Amino acid sequence: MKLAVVIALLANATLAEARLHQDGYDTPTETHVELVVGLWHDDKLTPDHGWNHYTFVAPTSGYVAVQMRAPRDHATLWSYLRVIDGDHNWAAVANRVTNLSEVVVAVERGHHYDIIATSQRNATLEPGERQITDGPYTIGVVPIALP
Amino acid sequence: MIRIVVGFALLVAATGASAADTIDQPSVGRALRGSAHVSGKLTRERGFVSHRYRAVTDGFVKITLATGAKRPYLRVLTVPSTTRRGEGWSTNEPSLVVRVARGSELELVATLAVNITKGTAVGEATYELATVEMTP
Repeated sequence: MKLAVVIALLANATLAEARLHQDGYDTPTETHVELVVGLWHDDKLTPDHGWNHYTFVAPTSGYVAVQMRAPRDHATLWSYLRVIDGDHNWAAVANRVTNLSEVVVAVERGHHYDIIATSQRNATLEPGERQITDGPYTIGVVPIALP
Repeated sequence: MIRIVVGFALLVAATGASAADTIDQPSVGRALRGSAHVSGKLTRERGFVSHRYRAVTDGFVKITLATGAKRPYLRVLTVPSTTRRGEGWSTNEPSLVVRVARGSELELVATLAVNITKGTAVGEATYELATVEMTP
């Protein structure tokens, strides 16, 4: 019974998202952009496209910092990053002072990682609620030399 | 898949002792300073335990949460200061690396992935939480 209720709620949420023509946690927008170490990529979030999906293939093994920066004091965009490796997840919400979010992960050479940029506001919406985040940001991957 | 959410609203509650033990209102455990470790038990009554960590060096800290037989869930929140406010991290992996400056403080909340999935403490396991400071 409980499972049925959960499924029904999820179905309603999915339908609501479709009606609103917006992407979401489980249905991010595919940017077709592969992030490259040391190169920054400028992008934006809109109410329709509030979850942007990138890929990253590690050129070497070691630590990297995935960073997302948005304008300070932006009204609706509070940077929020997810790094996904299969069913392993790391998430970070930004420093309110700098609006910079950072996920530091140990990566393996040649391995594929999924990276999703969104805003804290989008990450905490109720099912069916409209996304309002609208603003620019920059995303990149920086190598970090750690023991 | 576990939905990983770190919320600003959650930052306020992490430090206070509370009768309700939840991810947003965890129990308070022993503090950590620099590279250190603490161990304990997660129970149905005390399923979310927060440990305050204070950095003693500039660089990064690797936070590792090991649990007996159960998949861990780790949430890290900054203790607000003039330079850092509102930051948070979470993972269903055993470790997380965070940039720190000497004197900065973090709240480390240890729990189990199953407790996040269920929204309440349902699992029981021993845990060990360790901080290792690293300088590039």
